[in-house]
Amino acid sequence: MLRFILKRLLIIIPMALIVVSVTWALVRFAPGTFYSSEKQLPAAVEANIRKKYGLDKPLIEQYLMMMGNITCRTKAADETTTTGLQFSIGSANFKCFDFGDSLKYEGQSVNEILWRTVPVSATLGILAYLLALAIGITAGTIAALRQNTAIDYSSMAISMLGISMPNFVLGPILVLIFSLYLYWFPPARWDGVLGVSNLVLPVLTLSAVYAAYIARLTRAGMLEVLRSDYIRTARAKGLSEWHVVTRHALRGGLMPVISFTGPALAQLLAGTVVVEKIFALPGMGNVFIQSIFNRDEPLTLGVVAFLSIITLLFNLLVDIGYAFLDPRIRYD
Amino acid sequence: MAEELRPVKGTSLWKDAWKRLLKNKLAVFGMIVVCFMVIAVLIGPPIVEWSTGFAYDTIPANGDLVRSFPPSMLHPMGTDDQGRDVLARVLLGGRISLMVGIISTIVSLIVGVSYGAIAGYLGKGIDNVMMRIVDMMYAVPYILIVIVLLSLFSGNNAPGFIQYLVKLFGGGAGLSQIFLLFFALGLVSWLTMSRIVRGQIMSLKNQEFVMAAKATGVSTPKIIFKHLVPNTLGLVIVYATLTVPSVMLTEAFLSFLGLGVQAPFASWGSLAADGIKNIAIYPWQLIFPGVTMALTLFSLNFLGDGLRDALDPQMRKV
Amino acid sequence: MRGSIIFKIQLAALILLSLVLAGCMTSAKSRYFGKTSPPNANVLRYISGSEPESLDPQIGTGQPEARVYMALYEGLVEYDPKTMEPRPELATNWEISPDAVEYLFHLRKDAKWSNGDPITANDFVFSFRRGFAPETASRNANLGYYIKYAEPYNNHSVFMKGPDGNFYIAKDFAPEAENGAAVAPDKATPIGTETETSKMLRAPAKLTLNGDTFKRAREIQGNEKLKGVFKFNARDFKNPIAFTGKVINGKDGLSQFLRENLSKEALEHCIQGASCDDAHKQVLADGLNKLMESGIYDEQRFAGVTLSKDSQTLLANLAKENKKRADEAKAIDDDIAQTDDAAKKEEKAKLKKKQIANLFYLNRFLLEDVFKDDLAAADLITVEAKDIGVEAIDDYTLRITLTQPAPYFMSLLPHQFFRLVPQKAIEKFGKNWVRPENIVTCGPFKVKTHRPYDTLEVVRDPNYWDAATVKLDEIDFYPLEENTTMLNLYKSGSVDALYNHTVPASWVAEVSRYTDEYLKHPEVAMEYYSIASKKPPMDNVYVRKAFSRAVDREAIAKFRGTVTPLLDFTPEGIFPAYEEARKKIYEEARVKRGMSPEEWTHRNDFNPEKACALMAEAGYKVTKGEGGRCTVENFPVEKINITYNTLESNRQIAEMIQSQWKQNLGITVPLKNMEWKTFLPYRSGVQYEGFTRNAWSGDYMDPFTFLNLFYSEQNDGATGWHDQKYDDMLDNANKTLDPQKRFELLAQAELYVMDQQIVIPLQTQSTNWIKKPYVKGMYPNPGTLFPWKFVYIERDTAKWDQDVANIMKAE
Repeated sequence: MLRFILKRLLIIIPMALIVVSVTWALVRFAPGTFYSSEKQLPAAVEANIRKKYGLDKPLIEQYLMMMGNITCRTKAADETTTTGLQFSIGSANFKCFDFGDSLKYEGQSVNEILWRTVPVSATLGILAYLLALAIGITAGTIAALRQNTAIDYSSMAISMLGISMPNFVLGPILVLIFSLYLYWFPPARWDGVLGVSNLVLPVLTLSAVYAAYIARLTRAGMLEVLRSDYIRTARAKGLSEWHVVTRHALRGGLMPVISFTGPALAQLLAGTVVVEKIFALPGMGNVFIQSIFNRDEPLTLGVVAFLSIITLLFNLLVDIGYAFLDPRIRYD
Repeated sequence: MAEELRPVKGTSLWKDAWKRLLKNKLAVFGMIVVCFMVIAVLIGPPIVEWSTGFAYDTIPANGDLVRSFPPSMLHPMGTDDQGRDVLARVLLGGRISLMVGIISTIVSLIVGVSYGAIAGYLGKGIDNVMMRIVDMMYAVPYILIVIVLLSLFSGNNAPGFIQYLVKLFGGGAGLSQIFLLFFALGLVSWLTMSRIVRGQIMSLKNQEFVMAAKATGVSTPKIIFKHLVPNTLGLVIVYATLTVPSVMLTEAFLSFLGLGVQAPFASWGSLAADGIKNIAIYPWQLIFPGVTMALTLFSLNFLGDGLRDALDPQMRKV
Repeated sequence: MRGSIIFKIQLAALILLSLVLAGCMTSAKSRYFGKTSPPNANVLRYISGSEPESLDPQIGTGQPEARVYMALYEGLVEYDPKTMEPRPELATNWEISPDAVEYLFHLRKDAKWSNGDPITANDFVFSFRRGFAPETASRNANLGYYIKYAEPYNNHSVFMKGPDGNFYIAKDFAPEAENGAAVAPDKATPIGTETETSKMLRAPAKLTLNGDTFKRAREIQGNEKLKGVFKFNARDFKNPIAFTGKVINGKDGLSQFLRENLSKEALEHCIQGASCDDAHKQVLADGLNKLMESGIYDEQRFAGVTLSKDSQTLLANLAKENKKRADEAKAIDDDIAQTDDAAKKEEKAKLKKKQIANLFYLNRFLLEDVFKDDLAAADLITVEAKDIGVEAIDDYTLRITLTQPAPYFMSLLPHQFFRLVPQKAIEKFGKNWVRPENIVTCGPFKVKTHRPYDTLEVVRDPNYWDAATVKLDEIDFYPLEENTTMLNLYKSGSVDALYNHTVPASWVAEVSRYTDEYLKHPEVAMEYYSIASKKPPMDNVYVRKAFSRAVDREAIAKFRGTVTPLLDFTPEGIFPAYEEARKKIYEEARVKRGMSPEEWTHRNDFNPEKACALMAEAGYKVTKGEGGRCTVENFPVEKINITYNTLESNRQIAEMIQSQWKQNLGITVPLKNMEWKTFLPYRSGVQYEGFTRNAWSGDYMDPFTFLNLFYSEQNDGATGWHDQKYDDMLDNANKTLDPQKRFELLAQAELYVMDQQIVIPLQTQSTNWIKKPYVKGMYPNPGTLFPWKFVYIERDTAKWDQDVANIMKAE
């Protein structure tokens, strides 16, 4: 098992590099450039720009330079850049993980942008998932315990609503009710990790669909567990219903939820675009989409590298989880 | 021996399943709604045009009528910003949304199931490579893929099979973008399915009936597709019904970003994306497409749950 | 049963939701749009559109950036808050030479940078030079190409000195037709003090050649006069012995070739040194010149020759170009094989003419390289920063010299590109000077914090020369593009004003009821559809006119609520003096064409009947329908599209036009939307077929900014149409110094281009934004650009803005 995990961890690096390379090719394939705008540029101005950003060099050279920058390369003596990881071995200076400067936003390095935006998306994603867990597990458990009653039906109906409502619809509706009608929460913008009132609506919007999935998964899992022998035994021992549910049933009943958590969290860390747009939050998703629309190649590649490593790691976690949950699966 | 018995058993399996499905009222309800929707989006638009004179893209020539009116006798669902009939647009949007859902689901069923099954059964190195490819496809930003696809292959540059489809559906440059969109969505929709099927196959492949088949010299493709895949059907159907909403929402997300269907066509997602902007002043622009879409997705879900229960009584959970 | 219960619950939930929404919707109508109370602090919270590309005014190109720069940087002049005409800022007053070529600015002496350093004329010289420096790669640099030698400096051009040590003069080499196109300031004295620089600048314009060797070779190839300059002369043989020695003894192909083709006698004389006189050298030079004409370069011939890196690049470029040409020729050959088209054959003949394997100057350059120390090289001097027409006469006097009269130059100067940038900070920190910890600014505000995609906070700068006028303590710029989100923020009272074009069409009716907040005023911007007028079927002017006359602009204007229909190309109501002049020209044209005033006014407007008639005239089969409408039977609709970039308002206009054409002409033109960056090259390269959405907002307050859209071969009109006659009309107009006369000439050009109907003008835009009534000093000027120092927050409710329709007239 340990060997399997190590092997998979190691292979993540070349895989991320392949993903970055494919993305690089896609950006180059897409028409338009970061500097194209409403006004056509005179050939001379365009030539100046291409020269400034090294776009006049052969493609293969540009590709190798990009790969060198995002992995590791020796640092030239006259280089002044301070981004990325810099260290020296003996007299040789090295520089690693430098994604370069954003093309669209001159003077901002991609590393810096990631550093600034990832915490926003992560805060949002993690809070939303915690909320989804709290709501989903509670609703699912209650629905399972009160199977075939009005509570069961209504919580499942609401969960279906959550699954089938796009978050770009839910968000504005919440804003309309809570910001513009009741004036409880601000309708948009970021106020730091501790700006709780700004976080409420985006977190609610984001968590809805996950809460719905978790509720359905919990209910299904719990129903199966509640019929099993060991619960019957626990009840027969005279344990209180509360004790039976929290100590015994939930452990088994939450298995499907745990296997759902891996991909969901990876998706949440990356996929908060809509919520970030609606609520004007300076997170990574929005920056990512904008970078694609702007053809801001270094920024796109930086985010893709980050996201691909996250996605691959979470996929690995899922596989490990499968192995633990289902002893029939063996990794040789 | 097992081979000989299979056909007889097979028919009774389907018959049984059908019987069980009919007993499940929720599933029947879902089935009726889904059938109704399919029929409505197929025959609805011409009926609406015939009875009210409004096609999905008819903008009144009179400038005073080019604005959003609340529901009325002429326009049961009201009109949109440009005075177009919302009912006609919801019906047309349904055509496209359902097509997006169905095509992507078929892709995910065909590609996802066989890919996952092959990887899961063969295991070892092949499985490793195949699954790492899936992992990487997850990580490549599909918005970029959509942009590149749409820009390289739109209009007359479309690949042959898409041009064929466009001709099949009566031409129009707008259609080629829609089919490209289907293609792009299909491209990513099978990934999750392949992971799930693979997991399922891996836990099944060491069971006795597979050993037996192997021992009697059944060929590998036959083992995979005749013996293993049918056993994953319950799970596959559940995820297929979940694929439909997720693909429709992905399409809606692309519409939200402006990469969705080609105007003046619409999809439920694009109608909702447009409607939400006016929710505070013209709520009917959101409510009707939104409710139609939600209702269809509910029904599909019930139908999916019902089918799973019917096909695999042991897995009956919900 | 389960199903129906769940369904009932869901239905109930939906109904409940609808009710809540309906409740929100019908909240009591109040006087103001949402929560309206001034912020506690003296701060303006403004939504500024997309995230600024950079805080460097010479880098950022858009309007969102312009508004930020107006808080942080100043130029010689600033936009007037109401009219956008230039008003004195760092320059207190200025003089313009009678020929409008020289501008002398007197700067204020009390201006300071945010770090306390004084602002002098040298700061302007630095800023202009930096803006045009190729290394800066400013995308706005071409706005300043009117400044003398700015363009050649920006595009790496070279001057050239003759054998007498003097620079060659441009007009000596201009082809006859273009002679006199550029007027050089040839007067005796400049305005302001005469200096060495001003002498140089007032002298006739020097010849500039392309900085890239290969491009230069092609430039010279087409101009016999230029070729003459690059012919070898007797005096170019710096070391005839070495030269002839190499030619006679060389083993490589080149030496052999020269040996065989140059005069043997002259070679033999020259190798002995003493007997090599000018006559022999001249014979050799003539021999070389002849060879350069007929072609020296050949891959095999140069096989063993060592070449410098420059020459290798040159040859690589040549190879690339030749391959491209060969491919093109082959493609055309293939085409000809298929069709027997006379026009195609002509095209092929033209291509053959373009054959470039042998370029005169290329041979010369290679010879110069191979015989580096023996033959004199042409004396090329790269155009440098010091050459451009911007000069500090003393610390507080600045002179700018232009290449030609540009009457609109002053209105160009408030543009961000011409604002000051800090020399010391840039030299110290390089590209990182714009970081908040390094930045030095010169405007009324300075940077406090910058969190990209979130906020840019700027605070009042105590060092600003006019700090007493500045009323706000702080401005918070919120970069935000989602219309619904910003309207929400506005309604909840979290922001005080939005940027331009932020109220969606469907909201205009609702929002415009708040007459104290909604600002709708004419804008120096217009929207139109470009036509790919060189591609059939749109190459027929009747077809183009038919499509234009089948567009009901009134209906579109009614729908949009913020635009006015437009039939001419320059926006309506922005340039009153120009419109007067145009009226006169149009009246003359009307009389000349023998039309009644009635006919003239309606010559271009919406008329389905006329549109159908035009289609018939173009040779299409037209079936009449009711109300003057018709169906055009055999129109090749599959060859055209309406292409537009993804944006709700663009889509809606396209859908309406599509619907109108369908109703009036029976032609359903397919729509094609594209993501912005995909769309740009598609449109500017005229790759689209049929129609494409286009719009323009003026860079400066002069109709030329619009008419310029069809000027020269590469233009932003994106129609593929180019007419030398039109270019000449504009050139003539701009050379005219009398403003009235100039406008008349421009109007003639406008009439000329509109008769071709290469575009379908649609509408003059209006400003379309909202601000809280307590925000004073922000005016909906034609570009919605605000000099921030005049903006303030009024706490006295009685003095709040009322009925902002009159805001431009009041006070």
